Amino acid sequence: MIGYFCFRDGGAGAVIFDMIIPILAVIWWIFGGSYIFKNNTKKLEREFSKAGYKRNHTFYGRGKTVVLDIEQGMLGITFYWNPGQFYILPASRVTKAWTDDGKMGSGFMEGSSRVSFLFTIDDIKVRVDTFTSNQRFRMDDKHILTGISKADMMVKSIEEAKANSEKAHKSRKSKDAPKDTNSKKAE
Amino acid sequence: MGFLKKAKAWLKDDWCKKCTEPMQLEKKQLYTLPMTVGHYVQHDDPNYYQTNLIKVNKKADIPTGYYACGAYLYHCPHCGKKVVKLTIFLPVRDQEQFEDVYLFENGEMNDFVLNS
Repeated sequence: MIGYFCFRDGGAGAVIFDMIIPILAVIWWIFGGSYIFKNNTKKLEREFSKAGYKRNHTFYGRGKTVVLDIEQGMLGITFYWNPGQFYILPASRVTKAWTDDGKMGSGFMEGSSRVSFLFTIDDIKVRVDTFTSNQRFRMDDKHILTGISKADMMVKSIEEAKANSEKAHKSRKSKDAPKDTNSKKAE
Repeated sequence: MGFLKKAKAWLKDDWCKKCTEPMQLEKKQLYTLPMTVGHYVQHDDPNYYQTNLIKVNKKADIPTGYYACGAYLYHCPHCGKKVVKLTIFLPVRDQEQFEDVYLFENGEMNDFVLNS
């Protein structure tokens, strides 16, 4: 359409001009998503640090980035399929965290093609892959063991952060409690 | 026979290459390395290990996702030569994923392993 207005007589100019938009669309389709996700991840890291939290662990998973401040019990997360959004939450909102080694089959067919760690925040299950493949690997394979180790480490860190967050929450509550009783007495 | 022994000594780390005899294990010690899974970097400099290895008593003391190092000090009962073998591995649940094995034959690590 634009090509027609610019090059009414057609020719090479019109062809090149008309190709620009599809080419840009393909480039955006290939690189756009990851570009937005990378920017969002950087933004999450920046905001996490700006809020005064220390990034003890940052896990760059496939389509998800998880940031943890273990001491202060904070968790930051961003998703590929939720562009423009990131979440910084107290780890006490995590109800459960565990590792899924993806073990399938039995005997000589036993193996896995995906290892991930999972956690539930406000009853929403989040799965972060530490290893994925289109092939099945033996359970003692280097890739699988590395994936399990990464997942176990993240689960342990999440649990530590959760415990610290709950502790901080309790101590905050106990600090507030005497104030309330005093105010009630005054009433 | 002599050839087989030489081949064995050449292939096995715990055999004295000079005497072509098996060496005796004098001490073994487990350490943890300050490297987490996915961030392993090869080091063949003994100084790195002397400054960074942290002694642990058992495998359960190694934090999850950290690399471990097993040090074995061998000595030859015939010529008295001492050799230190370091095996770097990642403990994953009940398994071990081996990364590297280093052999220090010139006494670079002997004192460190003996004194730790």
